[in-house]
Amino acid sequence: MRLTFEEGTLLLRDYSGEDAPPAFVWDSRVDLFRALALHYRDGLEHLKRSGVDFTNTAPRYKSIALEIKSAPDPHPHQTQSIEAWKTHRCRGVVVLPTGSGKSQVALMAMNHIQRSTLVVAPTIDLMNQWYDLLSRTFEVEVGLLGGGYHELADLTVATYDSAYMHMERYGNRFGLIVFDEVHHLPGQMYSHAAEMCLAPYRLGLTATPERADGRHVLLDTLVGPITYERGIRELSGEYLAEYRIERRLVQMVAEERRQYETARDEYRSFLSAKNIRLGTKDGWRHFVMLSSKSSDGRRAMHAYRRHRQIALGTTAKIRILEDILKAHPRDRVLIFTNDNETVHEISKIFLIPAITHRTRTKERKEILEAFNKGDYLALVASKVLNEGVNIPEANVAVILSGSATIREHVQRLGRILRRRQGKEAILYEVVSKDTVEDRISERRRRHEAYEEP
Amino acid sequence: MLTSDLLLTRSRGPYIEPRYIDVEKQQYIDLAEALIAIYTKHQGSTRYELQRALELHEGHRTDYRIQRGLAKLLYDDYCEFQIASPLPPEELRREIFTLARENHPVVRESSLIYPTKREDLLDELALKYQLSSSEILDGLYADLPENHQLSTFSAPNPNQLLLRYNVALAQAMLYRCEILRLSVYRNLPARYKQLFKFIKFYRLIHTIEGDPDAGYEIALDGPVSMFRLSQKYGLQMAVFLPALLLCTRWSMIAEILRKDGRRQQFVLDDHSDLVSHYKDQTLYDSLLEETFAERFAKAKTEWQLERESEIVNLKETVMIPDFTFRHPDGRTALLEIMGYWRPEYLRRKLEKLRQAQRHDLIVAVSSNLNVSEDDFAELAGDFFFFKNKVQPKDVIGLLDQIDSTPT
Repeated sequence: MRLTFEEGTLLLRDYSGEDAPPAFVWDSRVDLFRALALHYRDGLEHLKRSGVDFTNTAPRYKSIALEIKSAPDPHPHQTQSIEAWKTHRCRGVVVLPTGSGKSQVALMAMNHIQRSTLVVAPTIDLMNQWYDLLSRTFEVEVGLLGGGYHELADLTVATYDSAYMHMERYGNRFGLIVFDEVHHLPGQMYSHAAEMCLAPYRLGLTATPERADGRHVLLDTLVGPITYERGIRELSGEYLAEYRIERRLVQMVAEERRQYETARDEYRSFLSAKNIRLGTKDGWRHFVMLSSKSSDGRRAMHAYRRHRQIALGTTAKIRILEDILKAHPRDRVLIFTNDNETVHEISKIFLIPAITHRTRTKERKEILEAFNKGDYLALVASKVLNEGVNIPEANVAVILSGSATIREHVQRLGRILRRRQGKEAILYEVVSKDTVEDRISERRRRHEAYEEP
Repeated sequence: MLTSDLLLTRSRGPYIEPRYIDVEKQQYIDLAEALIAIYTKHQGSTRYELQRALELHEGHRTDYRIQRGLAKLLYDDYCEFQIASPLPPEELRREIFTLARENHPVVRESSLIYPTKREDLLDELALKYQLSSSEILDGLYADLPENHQLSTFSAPNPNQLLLRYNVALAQAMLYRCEILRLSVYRNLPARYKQLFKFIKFYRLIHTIEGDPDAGYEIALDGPVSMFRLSQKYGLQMAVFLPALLLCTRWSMIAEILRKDGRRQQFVLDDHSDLVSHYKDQTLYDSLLEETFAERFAKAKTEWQLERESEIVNLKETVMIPDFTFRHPDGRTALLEIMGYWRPEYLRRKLEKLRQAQRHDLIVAVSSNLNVSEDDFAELAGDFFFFKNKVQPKDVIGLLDQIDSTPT
């Protein structure tokens, strides 16, 4: 009998027994017993216990000699989280706030398991960041899957998209799989990345495991239970730098105000004529539907988009930004804005480097290094830097415009929460007065991270 | 191919289908012509300018999704873009940002504290490279996709584009498909071979039921579909679709999972107006088979040769014999001709022939092949060697020995 890995599943070939291990189901399409690769560890243990004579050609991962060449000493919460993970048979989710060194926990797990490892990250930028971290820490060749790269190595980093696309081919090549920002994993499609992989050891990392759709309960099967959890307040001050929030309200310039109001009046009169209220979920759907049915509707939708755009990227904000840059001539200033177009506009106005998801690996690395060294003092980025990008030297952050998602802002905050001796971080939030954005910001403030200590 | 947001559908009870466009309708021919003209005119312009022109043409039209769909197909399949800049953008950026760092922070109006303003820095570089300061600014991000230049546009004719669009709609419909059920009936072996070649290439798993007379029901999905229905294979089914369109007699039911969780069926058959853009293979696999068919037609026998083939299901794969024979008394038989093949293909073919275990399968083997009689020992049916041509009389001799008991 042979246990094989095929297309993200396990097959029992030349198997004459009546009963297959749990999770194996008869596949009449090919006349063989089949299971999701996810069940490899349990299936294998069952076969061994049952005393059947079999060869196991399913796994193709290797034992490797990993040695941490350079990494800071672990904090107690990092050591505790890895110990908790080990007591759960090295399968589980660790919940720690952004900026508390989650990636360090993954390095410790890899060092413990000593097998070929795949790290899965949500964005190309984060993938690049892991690439830098792994090459630096272990001084070995690191493979990349995603962002135009398709190279496998003993340590490989992939995006969720690529992992989803290619796991049926490479699902047997890794003994340990690490899911960074693991709250992305339980989606309809991405969950295949965990199901089609046979890695017996699994680690999930996140600051916010919950999902609005409730699918986070699947993490238990896909990765393992939550084995360790600490909140942002429990660690603040102790391991994270203190931070202060400054809010800057800007008044639109007259011309923009006029355009804003024209656009607003246009879509509002359409809505009231059609008796639609946008506050409700159905209202929005109704609006979208009508906008594809009549040219009045199209016009109203365009007006709606325009009024939001004006509110999000005003020229007055550029003036405020100039003032902030002047107020911090010796600090390392990180500027966030919503869309790539504004990123490049700011880059061209203040002649400062920009990073978006389209910035190539080499240049991105060069810019971040130069920023950390002080060869560049300011950096403008789009939401690509939202999750866990390592910029230890940044001590001033400016959010020039943003969306309402709470997660995004906590993670942006995390960027300047990295502890350095005697450093006080400042977060500027620049919003237009009396516009849609103003209200988004109010909602945002209710989140825990913004509460006064 | 289209993105899902460009797919327009129409629901009727349990059925869903794309809103195909009438390729004869003047309104669409005009639209296709207008778009092709915009692309032609924008050779040498940036992607951004092209995009702006398309948006302008779109205006407040409610059929903007059709326009965007057509534009996307033009964009993906008929365009080439390049970076156009007097200086390598990355080096220019490094130089300009470093220069700005030395004068940090860069201001727009100079003052006592900040005597250097951004225009001074730009002028400094412009002077150095003998360019204008606006050329410097334009070059700064010339490598960004929206600043790429449309260098070549190979214009299709409007009809080609519209036909392609309808196929793309049907393909996009399949992105959300969980299982694809096909019925195929009396197709040529080359067509079946082509079909299964694509099924295999796109790593879909098949289930087959039926026989050559009643036709075959083929269900397509993927390895994990048995654990939970999944749209994971929808993209593979979408790229497979044009191969199905090449078949002569077929129908298809695609089980579609909609975003709201409802399930509907998308049906399609050989009466549809969809035209495949995949290349059809020749009717005969090789000259060898073609000559045999011609010669057999002249031979004196009651056996009838049929080009419409049988599919022998071997579970993880299929075997599609080159010919089927039918006798007036009801007997049938199959013939496989092994001509000139590479060793690896030959080995797989032999394995398939053994697996098939068919008493009514005759194999004609070229004596030029590096095989011996021993290789065919485990075969259930007969075989013979031939030199240059497969002689009908050799085949008829073996056909007559076939008994009428079903295999």
